[in-house]
Amino acid sequence: MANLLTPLLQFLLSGLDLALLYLRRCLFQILASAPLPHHVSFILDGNRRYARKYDLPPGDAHQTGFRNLVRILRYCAELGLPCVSIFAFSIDNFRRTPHEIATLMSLFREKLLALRDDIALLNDAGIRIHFIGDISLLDQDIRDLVLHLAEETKGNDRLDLLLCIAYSTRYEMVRGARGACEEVLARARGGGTAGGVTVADVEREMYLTGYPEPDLLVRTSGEWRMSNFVQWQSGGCMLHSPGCLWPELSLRHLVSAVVRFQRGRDYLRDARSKIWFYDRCDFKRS
Amino acid sequence: MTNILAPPPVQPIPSFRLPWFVRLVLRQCWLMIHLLFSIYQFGSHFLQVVESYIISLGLLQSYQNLQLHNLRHLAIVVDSEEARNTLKVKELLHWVSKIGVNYLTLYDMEGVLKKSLDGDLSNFTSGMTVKLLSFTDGKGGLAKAASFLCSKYQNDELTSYNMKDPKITESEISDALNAVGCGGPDPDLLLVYGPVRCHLGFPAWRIRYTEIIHMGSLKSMKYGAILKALFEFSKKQQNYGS
Repeated sequence: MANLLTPLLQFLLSGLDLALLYLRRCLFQILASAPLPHHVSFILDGNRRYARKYDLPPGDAHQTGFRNLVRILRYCAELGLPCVSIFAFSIDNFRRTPHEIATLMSLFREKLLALRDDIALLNDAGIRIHFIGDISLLDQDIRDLVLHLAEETKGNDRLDLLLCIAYSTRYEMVRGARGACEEVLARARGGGTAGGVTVADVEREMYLTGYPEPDLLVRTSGEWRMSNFVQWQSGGCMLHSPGCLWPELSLRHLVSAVVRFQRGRDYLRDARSKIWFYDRCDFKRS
Repeated sequence: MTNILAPPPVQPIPSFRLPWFVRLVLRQCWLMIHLLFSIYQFGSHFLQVVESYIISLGLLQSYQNLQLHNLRHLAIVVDSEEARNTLKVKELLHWVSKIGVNYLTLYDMEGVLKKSLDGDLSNFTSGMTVKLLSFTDGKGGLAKAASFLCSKYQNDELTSYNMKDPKITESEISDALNAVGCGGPDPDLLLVYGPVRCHLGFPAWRIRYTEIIHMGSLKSMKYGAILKALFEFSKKQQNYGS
């Protein structure tokens, strides 16, 4: 009797999985009747709180968080979102305890190695990985993995995944201003007219220049702060803070975020076009 | 690791490839989802309005003595269309100063507030410092600060005949922003009055750890809602990633 039950149960479960998959595809087809956000950003907040809530060691919480990340990325790929960014590790996080930084770094290392081994499947799924941030702050082996993955997936075009590691907006604003200054000074030394610095000059050296601006920023755990993530690029972006912790973020939260975006899309589009207009005005100052 | 990838995700079929009746059915389903969502939002908004009235009538003990020592600097973003309603804005200023806020920054993208509130605000603000900002103080402010630093380095080079690469740090940029008139303290709390929770280009340098709360439309602003926002803010625990 027990011999029949297990395969029967497995059959029922895989049938259920398949039914859920098709229901999900229907739901996403319905949502796609109206424009979807082009670029969705996630701040993965709440792993440590999840660990405390369910009495898990912090390392386990990050693993659960990572599994949920994979699930949400799958939903985003199925929904057809062209670009997703993840705030994986802030430069500000280098202030955490050495033990926790080491745990996070070894998690990155483990996952990047797994990605490297499964590179063919990444290519089949059409995911192109971009690493955003100052990777010189990372360990050499992680840096090499990062460059290797970016190189191997650069031909894909279904989903652009921006992994923001060692990134923060203030850091990139400083970098942008520094780059613009160096350029102006070089021009002046070379005998040309120095001129002033424009917004475009500052943005040239920023990490997220050249990528689409986020349309929807989802930060879990009900936190309302942007925590030094994309505040420069989010003038026309909807900020959404569901109360659930990151490992608890599920399909219904993603659908709710997309529905909210669709309701505010016209307003955001107007805001974005005004920003575009102001950016194109001349900001040169002598 | 492989469950994201196997089988490869199938994306929605673009609308133009679907027959018209399928598009119609999908659109009806979409409208149904949005209708359900609207009903949920309406209910939630109604409860918030009731709560605001209860709070402003002083019926809730916990709102009697608001602890504002964490709130050194409040910022408010107003949608530019709504900001044209100067009477409402002045009423908001009056409420905020009545609550006891010392330093307020008011922002709207197009600079409507800079034009309409250009004058003496002491009637509404009783000792509260009010600064007015617009979009050009944000990104443009950083460009101005960078220009300022460039001039400074060029002058240093001319006076000392010494070519050195600019070592621009965060604190140098903060000082430069102050020097060009685009500086100011980082707000602890940012209230957004508009249809969508969006900071509309508030100077990025200053909102890295700012709590951002959406207050809804300026037209339907409630005193109790501001009290609630300040109360929620004071309860929150700050964790700056360290």
